[in-house]
Amino acid sequence: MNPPTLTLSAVSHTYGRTQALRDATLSVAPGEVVAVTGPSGCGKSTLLLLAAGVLRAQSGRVTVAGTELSGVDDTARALVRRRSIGLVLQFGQLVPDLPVRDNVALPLLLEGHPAADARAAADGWLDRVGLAVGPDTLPSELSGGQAQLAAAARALVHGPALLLADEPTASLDTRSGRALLDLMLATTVAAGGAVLLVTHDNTVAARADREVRLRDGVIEHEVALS
Amino acid sequence: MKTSTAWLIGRPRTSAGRTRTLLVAGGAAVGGGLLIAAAAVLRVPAEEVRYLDGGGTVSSSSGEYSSLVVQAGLRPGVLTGILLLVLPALALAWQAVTTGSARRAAVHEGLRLSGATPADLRRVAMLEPAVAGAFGGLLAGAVYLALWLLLHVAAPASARLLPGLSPLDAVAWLVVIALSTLVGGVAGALAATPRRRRPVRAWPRLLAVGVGVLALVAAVSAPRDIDRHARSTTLLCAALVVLALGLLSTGSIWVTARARRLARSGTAVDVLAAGGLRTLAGPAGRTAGTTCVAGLVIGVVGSLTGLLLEPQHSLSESLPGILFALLAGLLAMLAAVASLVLAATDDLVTTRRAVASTAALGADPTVLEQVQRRRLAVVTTGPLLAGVLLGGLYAPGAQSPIALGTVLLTVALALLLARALAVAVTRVLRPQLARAAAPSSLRVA
Amino acid sequence: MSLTELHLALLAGAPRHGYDIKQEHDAWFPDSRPLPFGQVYATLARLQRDGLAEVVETRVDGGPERTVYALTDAGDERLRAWLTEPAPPTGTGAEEIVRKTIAALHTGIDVQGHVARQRAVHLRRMRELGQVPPGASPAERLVREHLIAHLDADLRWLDLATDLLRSSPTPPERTHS
Repeated sequence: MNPPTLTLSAVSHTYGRTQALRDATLSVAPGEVVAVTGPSGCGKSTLLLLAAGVLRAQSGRVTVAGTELSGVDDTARALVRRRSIGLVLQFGQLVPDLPVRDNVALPLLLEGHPAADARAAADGWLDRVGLAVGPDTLPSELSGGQAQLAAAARALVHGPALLLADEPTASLDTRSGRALLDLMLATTVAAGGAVLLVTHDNTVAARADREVRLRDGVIEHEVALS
Repeated sequence: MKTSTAWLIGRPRTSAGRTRTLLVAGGAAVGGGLLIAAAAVLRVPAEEVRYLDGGGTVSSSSGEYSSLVVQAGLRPGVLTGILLLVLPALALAWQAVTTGSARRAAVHEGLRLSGATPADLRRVAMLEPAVAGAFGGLLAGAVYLALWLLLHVAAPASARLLPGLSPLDAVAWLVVIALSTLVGGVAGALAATPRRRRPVRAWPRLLAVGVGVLALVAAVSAPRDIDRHARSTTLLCAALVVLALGLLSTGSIWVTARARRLARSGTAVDVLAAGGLRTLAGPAGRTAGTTCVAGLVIGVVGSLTGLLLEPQHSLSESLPGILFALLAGLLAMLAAVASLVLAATDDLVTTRRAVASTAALGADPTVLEQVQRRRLAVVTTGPLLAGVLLGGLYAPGAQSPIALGTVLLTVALALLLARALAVAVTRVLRPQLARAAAPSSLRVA
Repeated sequence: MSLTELHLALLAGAPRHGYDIKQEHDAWFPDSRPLPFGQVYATLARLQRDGLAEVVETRVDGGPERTVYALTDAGDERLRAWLTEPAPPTGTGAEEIVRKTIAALHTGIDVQGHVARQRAVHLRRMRELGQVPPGASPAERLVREHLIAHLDADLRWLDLATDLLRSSPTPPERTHS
């Protein structure tokens, strides 16, 4: 069996005095889809940000595509994020003032691809997620759902080995949410990528191969769904 | 990351972004041009005074330049004056660099999530202010040229402050271009570095202000001694710089304190104004600091004008000095206005959603405008007046009743100015306020 | 029929007589039909016959004679086995998930395990239903969607139930008469 794309072992994280995550151990294999569910404030998003290397684990180890994130500096973690991770957060988190198309092209631009190529790729993905925007449309002109579509396109544009998504369909209606999830899972899994979905929506969780349930920062149970 | 990519990401796209670039360039241009002029003043042949055996003196001065730049005792005064002009220009440029911090934090976050390394982020943050700085440096040449035309070509010999053009000016210009580019870039990187939120320590900043005030009083009240004049002027320069830096850094303390008072007072307008001030204590504090430094310059200008009007100076002798002082006051006022407009625009852009929600909750446009004006008043009236009073310390120190009179006049004018500014800026920004209050701003993330 | 196991759950805390069991049941399921006495006694008799419950006491305090029943080891085993098995993910018309969850929460027998197993079977079923065969007609899709929506509702209720009962400071009071 292939080594897992993402591994968290005994990871804990504390904000000030609040313990958001305690001793979380979890792994996602290539081609596998794992859903992390739990009530609001249970530590789901913290777990995702730790997996993305946006937060640094205070204890325990996080490994993505062979790189141990807790042992390297910010630059190395940024490079892992840029090359191996696609990240979709709840509110899109697009770069304001940067046209939507360039936002989607960002991972490729940062990696040094020529702007024309990066934008062509971005246009392709905007088309696939079903978001029609002009070359100069700014994120501020998008609705919440559209921003989420753009964020998904940005997370997929570089074919990441690990797709991390936090409530990726929260601002979308049932139908477009399902279509987006279909696209995200199908493209990533077909390319051998791993997916970690953070959600409190059971219909989203039901798309996963495995459910990991969090409560009060602790993994309560883990069940196989496939 | 390639520089072209950094420019693609970081170049100013919105009108707020372009205003910021222009202000950084403008501040650098004025500051740089004045610095070139200061360097040029040093080139003016200094007067050598020989004491004759019979008790008289012979001056080597050819009478080509104003005594302000020729006499060893007065020249540092002129340099102080120039420095006083440079300060508000640079304070404004710094404020412009740090403006829109909330928006830039969002940009920073978006880039970071997409995998931008710390070096990438720094490059994006540096590029635009560096380009603006370089542009300002280039413009500094034009500013210097204008000063030269005014103070060398057009001025009569008694008022001539600058020497003829020389290759050294070009050298100074190149140095200014290099410096403003560098400083712009570094300032951009500094402004973008995420700082940990920690409680602002008030006492070191207040200490700097205290030291500045004491040094100012000491420098001004020291006995006039021709031989020590250069030294006391240097002390004065240093005192003003310390004071200005101290005042710039105490802005946020003032704003936070005022916000607390307003929040307690209980009227809706005050409470709303306090909310905005508290969340934007940093940017609002920088505006208060810039206004205060502008006030300091205006105060010093008021005192100087008074001193120059003393009967022992002939009018023709003191006229260039007075004009120069008035120009300084005017520039300081311009810096204050620009700073206010910048801060208010930035405020509206950052708090669009808050403004729109307040409007949606039933606040009518006049209330929103009152809130806006109240916030502006906090960063204008108090700081401007404090600055003018501190600068006015110059006059009682010099024990000149006329100067005291002009300082009082300046204080009165400054009060009027502060009120007029808050009203005028609110009026100018009315369309922007209406846009911010529009329901479409509600969905802006 | 899960009513047998439900009686075992009602007996799990302490020995009770028939009237107690009826009261307790009606308190656990306030909107379902009150349990008829006849059914209680019939079930208790069956439990005793099958060795799942036993008579521990016969009380006569002024009123009518009351027989107090308690769970046998076999009864306890049977109850735990029942709780180990999640309710079938039917989504509609299923009181079973409600019975099991309430019984698990009241008896405190492996609540976490119950939630995990129940979520697993429901999510698995939702997953299957979501994988629509290529040739499926729109009508069939709609039937699947209907079931998915109901299963989702079951899971939400499960979340709410575990949350509410967990956050209440003391375990639900038992009715004693």
